[in-house]
Amino acid sequence: MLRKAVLFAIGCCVFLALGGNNPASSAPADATAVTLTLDWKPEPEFGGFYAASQNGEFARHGLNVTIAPAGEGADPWQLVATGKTEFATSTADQVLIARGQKADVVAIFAVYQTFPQGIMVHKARGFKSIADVFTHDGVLLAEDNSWLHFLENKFSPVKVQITGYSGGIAEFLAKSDYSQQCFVTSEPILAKHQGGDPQTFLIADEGFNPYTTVVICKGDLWRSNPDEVKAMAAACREGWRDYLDHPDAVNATMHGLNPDMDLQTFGEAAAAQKPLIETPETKSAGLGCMNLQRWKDIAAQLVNLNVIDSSVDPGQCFVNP
Amino acid sequence: MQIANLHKVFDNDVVAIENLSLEINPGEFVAILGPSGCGKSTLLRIIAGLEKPTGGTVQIGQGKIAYVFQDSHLLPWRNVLRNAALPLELAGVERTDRIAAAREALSQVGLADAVQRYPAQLSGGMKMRVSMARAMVTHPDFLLLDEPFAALDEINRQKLDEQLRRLWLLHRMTVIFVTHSTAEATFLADRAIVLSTRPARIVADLPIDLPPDRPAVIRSSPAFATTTQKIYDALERGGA
Amino acid sequence: MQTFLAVFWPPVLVLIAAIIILHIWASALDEPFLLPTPRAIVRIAINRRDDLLSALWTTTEAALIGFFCSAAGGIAAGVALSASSLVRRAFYPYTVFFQTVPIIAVAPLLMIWCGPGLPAVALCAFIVSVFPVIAGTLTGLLSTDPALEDLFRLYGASRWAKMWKLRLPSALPSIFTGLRVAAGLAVIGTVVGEFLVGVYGPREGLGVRIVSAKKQGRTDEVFAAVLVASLLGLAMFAVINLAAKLLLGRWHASEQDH
Repeated sequence: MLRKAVLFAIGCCVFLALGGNNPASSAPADATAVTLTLDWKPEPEFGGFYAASQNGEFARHGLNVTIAPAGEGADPWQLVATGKTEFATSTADQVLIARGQKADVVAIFAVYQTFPQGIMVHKARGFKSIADVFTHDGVLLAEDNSWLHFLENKFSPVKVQITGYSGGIAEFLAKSDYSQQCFVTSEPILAKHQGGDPQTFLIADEGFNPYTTVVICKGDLWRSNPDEVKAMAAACREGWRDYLDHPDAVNATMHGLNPDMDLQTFGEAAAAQKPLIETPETKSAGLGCMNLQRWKDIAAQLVNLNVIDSSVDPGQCFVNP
Repeated sequence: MQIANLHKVFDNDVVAIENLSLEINPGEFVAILGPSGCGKSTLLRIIAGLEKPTGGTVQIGQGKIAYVFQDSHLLPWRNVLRNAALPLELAGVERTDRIAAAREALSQVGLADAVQRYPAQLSGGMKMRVSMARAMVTHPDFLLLDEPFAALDEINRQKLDEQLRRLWLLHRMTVIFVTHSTAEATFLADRAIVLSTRPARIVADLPIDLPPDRPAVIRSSPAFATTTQKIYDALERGGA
Repeated sequence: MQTFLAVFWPPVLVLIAAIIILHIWASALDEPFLLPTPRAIVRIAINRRDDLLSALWTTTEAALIGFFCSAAGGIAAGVALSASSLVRRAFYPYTVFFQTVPIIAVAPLLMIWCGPGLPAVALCAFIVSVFPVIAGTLTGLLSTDPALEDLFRLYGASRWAKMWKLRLPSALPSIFTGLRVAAGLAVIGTVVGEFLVGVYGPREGLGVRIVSAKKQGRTDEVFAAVLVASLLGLAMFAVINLAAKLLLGRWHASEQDH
């Protein structure tokens, strides 16, 4: 009897010792292994996820999360829909487009309550709003996303020449009549550090305001394994709380993964993005919460732009687990 | 044509010709024979000006030189007529004049009906005749030929030999004809120069005592056989 | 009519087989945003035919400009390089740069120099397609029959006469090989250039349509645009083959029916 107990105890110790050999996330050996694929490089917009990984929020909820960087090619919702990744980050309008293409993905957590995309122009041009950007000569570097269609529609006929944006601020700095899309918390800060004269306009101010950096997963996963999804959302909430309060250590980690952005910019961006993430609504309903009216608004705008058809149900697009 | 103490060394230190002297009179038909690689082609190219001698002198009288290669080497993208007219074209002759001269030269070799054809559509023998017409179109004073009929079958070869001799009888240019064939040399030439193995020197300089008018049957005459035998012996002496 | 059928049935048969395979595969997969069925592709192509045709026009313009610059520039460069072995040793290695430079890195620079849209896109097409023409021209010029060179020298031909009447005609088959490769590359270069520095709007090219459709998850539109771009490449290739037949048909082995 005693021998069995001793052997059992030794067995447990060995089991725990083997299982606890993961330095990054000290998850117990039976934690669920999942992947979270990001849709950009490691930057403050993902700070909460890296915090959850580094400081154990994921582990505490029984999750062993591998944070995978963005790849060229397939959109995040396609990766989720085809099962290449369990979770990914996307935007509300992309979720609507996905569902319009019969891909059953659903949003479970929204980092940004306010759309953080903006348009960065040279201050010397004297523009007063986004309207000026579209109605004057020059070049606008932008990805062909829904917000661009929205703005083109709002300010048509468009005078500016619009061409592709593939990241960075080099072209913007080189030519004084160039404007570009930006994350209001990122590129303008970078441009200022490199001696530029950026002025930023928030696209949300023009009336287009989708939830951004939303964590998505397959609808199937929510229906078959709601506990896993709840755990993920809860861990994200705690990780973001952690990051909002103590960003520095996590910024250092992300800077190591993305040396193109310097530590000072990381710090400034992390501070600048706070009001976009934490609002009176999140103070009562919790970080990452979403409401139906916002989804309905975006869906209506996309239908109006012929990006999706009216059969897509905004209510099916998200859950608040 | 006076060649004195001709000396030719190639880049790889191969001595092709050593101290060769030769005199050729205007209007002569000279055949040059020798073993493979002895330098007879090199000699011909030096005479034509396509190679420079390393030593010695080559003095040629005034006059146009024409050269016929071992392969017909026609321009494949031009038809027969424009190929024959090429030397005149390069000399800047007017189009109507050079086309007329080309037609004339082509009828002299029996190709009047083939002027619109392209080289790809011609047989080996016909291509060689175009090459000859091209050589004759400038009415050259010197005609140099380097084993031109070697690749043709027996019948075509003999026919072209007869054609060449007829042209020579008509125009009386100085002809230097390099060949391997003792029979061909005997049929065509007044004089056969036999070279030794490399480095080339003259082993024999034989006159060919046959009548100027040489019908095809002359090939079976005893005099013909004796001459070819003499040339053959000279070749053997030279190390062929 | 009979020869027309005889020539065309093999590739048409392959095409039909490919469509059938694609249809079965796409239907089985049932993920229209990943692999659309042939029917969906054709349907969207017909629905958006005005947009596709206008995009095709824009892309064709840039591709043709890029290709003609490659043809003219490539042949000229080949002629220049053939002049002396010293010139060749000095400059030929750098022409390989055209073949290896990644367009993704160069396109933004082109845009800064000459603005987005047609000039930059045509330059992308040029950069991507010029090297085969240079290589084909140079190889052709250096392979001239030495006996013919002797012949021209014997008859006192000028340098110009040698180049124009001997070397260039002799190099034509090799030049055409280079042009055939360059045609396809010019289309690729144009489309990739449009991805990076093409202008959006009513006159956007096929490359922009592809990126745009991809962003909206409309994979059937992506495939339709890619198909149209391939047809452009095919058309250019066919035109060059026709030109080759006209210029080489009577004399070069490659154009004779074996």
